Amino acid sequence: MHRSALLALVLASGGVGVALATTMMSYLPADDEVVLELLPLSRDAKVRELHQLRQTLTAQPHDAALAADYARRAIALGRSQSDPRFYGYAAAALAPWFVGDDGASNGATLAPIGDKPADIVWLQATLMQQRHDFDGAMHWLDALLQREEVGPARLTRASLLLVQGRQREAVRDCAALARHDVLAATTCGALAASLDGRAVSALAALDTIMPQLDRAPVEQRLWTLTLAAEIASRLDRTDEATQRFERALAAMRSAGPDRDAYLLAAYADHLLDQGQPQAVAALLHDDMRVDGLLLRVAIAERRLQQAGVATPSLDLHRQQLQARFDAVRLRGDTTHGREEAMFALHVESDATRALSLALANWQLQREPIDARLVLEAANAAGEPAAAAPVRQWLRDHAIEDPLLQRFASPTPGNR
Amino acid sequence: MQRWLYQVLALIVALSLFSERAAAHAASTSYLELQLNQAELAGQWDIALRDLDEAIGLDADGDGLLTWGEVRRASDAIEAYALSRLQIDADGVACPLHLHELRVADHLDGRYAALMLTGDCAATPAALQLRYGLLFDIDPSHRGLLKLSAKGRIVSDVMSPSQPQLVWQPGVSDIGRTFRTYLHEGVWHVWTGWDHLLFLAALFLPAATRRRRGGGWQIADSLRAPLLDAARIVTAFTLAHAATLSIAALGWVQFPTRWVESAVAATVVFAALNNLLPMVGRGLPWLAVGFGLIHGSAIAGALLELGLPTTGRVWALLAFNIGVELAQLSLVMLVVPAGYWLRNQRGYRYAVLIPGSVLVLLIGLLWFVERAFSWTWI
Repeated sequence: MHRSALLALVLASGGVGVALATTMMSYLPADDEVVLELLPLSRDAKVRELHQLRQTLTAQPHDAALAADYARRAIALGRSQSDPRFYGYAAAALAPWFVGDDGASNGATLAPIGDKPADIVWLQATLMQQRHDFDGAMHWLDALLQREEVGPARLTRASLLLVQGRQREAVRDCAALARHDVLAATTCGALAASLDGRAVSALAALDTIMPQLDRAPVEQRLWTLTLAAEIASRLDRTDEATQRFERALAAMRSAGPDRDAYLLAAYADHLLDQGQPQAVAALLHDDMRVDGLLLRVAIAERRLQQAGVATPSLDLHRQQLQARFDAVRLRGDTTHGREEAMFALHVESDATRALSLALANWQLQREPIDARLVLEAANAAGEPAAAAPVRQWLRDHAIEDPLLQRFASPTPGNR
Repeated sequence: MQRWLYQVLALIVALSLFSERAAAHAASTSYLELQLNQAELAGQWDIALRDLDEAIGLDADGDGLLTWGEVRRASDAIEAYALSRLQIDADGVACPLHLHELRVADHLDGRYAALMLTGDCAATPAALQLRYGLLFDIDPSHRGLLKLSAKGRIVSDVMSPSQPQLVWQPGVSDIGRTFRTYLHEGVWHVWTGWDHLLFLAALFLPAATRRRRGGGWQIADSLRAPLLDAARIVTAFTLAHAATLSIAALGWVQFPTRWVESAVAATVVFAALNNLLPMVGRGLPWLAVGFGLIHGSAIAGALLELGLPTTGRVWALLAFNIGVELAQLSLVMLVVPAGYWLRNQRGYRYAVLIPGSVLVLLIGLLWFVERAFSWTWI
């Protein structure tokens, strides 16, 4: 008797093997002259400098100043080229100070800060945040800032809080930054304030520093200009936002060939909200190597398709995105939650899947875009109640975003 | 470094965090597929040309364009570099790998070198051990995605700096072998698990010579009654422990180890005490159910440590349970008849039953204190 009970138990578990592997494809190029790869080395003098620096670093891997310099340059390249391999190179340079630590935060296993150099600790936190290990990043930042005041670490801590929807706490770090860098402090503070009921005055504050931006580094200029455009867009000042985005775009183009993926994605989202998908394709046609930008192109194509316009490349882009998400998931990374949810909702029109992805992402990232994803997916899936935590967050923080509030308010058909 | 440059770089780095909206190209990943056929290994390892260039420099003329000629001519260097970072052992003996052909593969983030590999192990291995160390020194975020197959079974895993090893037993593939392996493990788990043995011994020592509640001795007059009693207790016990063992081993429930281990010790104490000061007589099968639930969750720990195979875990679980029961029955078949033949000997009572129960009681108490209060004896 108990055997049958056991069998029933066991059969219910459905322990069946995995499907067979697909063999990988390979080929022999036609001849020796075939160019297989364009190395980043050839494209950018900064990559060449990084290479030279690595040789020096290899000879003296425990030189903290050298390692921090190398890691800073590598992270900067990772950002300007939207290429995560550079973050990996940076992590290698910091590794001697985190031996046996593996960079992963498993709660208590993180080592004490001891006398680790400030820059090294700050950069490690930056990398942890980049791969969405927010707890680990916060551990190092708190330990560091408790020990000493480090300007860049304040900015990193503020950004970490902001991405987690803790704008009220971020304000303090933005303020502490003022001693080191007024422009960064102002922009940081305006960002936090704009998400807590003071969007109009935040925009005004940004406008007061605009005259100083011309002499500021291009990254600062783009950050401030983009944020101002985003706030205007959230405030539903459509034309003003478009002008501000164009101004940021012009600043990006005049600074050189580097593309600012954040600015491009934000502008694309604004254009999509304004019902101009055709403008998105034109804006991003050179940026499809970046997952987040290819995603915007695919969303724009999907909108066009729904409007009855022929979009021959939509299927290809859809497959490419799916393949990239699969590759990221196979590695065990959790960095694409937001993009996957957007893909499911806006490209695949799979509201149920989008909702579960958006809710999972909400556990990690809590910016307005993440809130909106949950609300839109919940409405589309016919489960507006599932977005309750987001509605609570919206009540706790006065986010001045008419579109977001519209998604949050119960629609007659849904309740 | 100049202060302004430092500030600019610091700003860029901090800003990189605001750029989350656009995650990028792709992080460094290699793809390794290996098939084991008897003692022969064959497979393909795709490594990004860009990564190989970072590691050993493939761009001979330094023009930033990597041609097939440059890659092909670096074939020996690629083989030496890659194979020094991948080690495969069969039952503890290295299986040397060779590059037998270098090809090219297209992946999402660019072109890869496709290393067609062969290798020979000394004999068909029972366990395959793989150690992976590619690129971790220059990029700790590198991952090796590997897929091993043998005898129609496949295992996939992700190699990282914190998990650079994989041990695989492709031998446990066909159902028969899985069954035998887990049956064996079940039997041995009981035979080598002292607390389980002592508990059973204490339970069955008085099968034929039971102390009455009011005092005096109740002695069985045939073997049939004590064996039936024992069978009832064993069945109740087995049913209960099969249930908790199965739900825990399948990962449906997790029992806190310390609690379970302490509870097992408590059951040993109670069983021994019950021989000396009878508290439960007829209700013993019901008590066995309760104790079975506890012992089942403890045994599950051993099975979890061993791990259930991905294929045929139905059979593995069943085999383990049968093994546990066979081992218990073998003990019962030893203890009960022995107790029956000796039932009229005063020596059995005063030299075996009572001192034995006292000893079991003491050991159980020690275990309990040790496990419940994390107390270690010197």
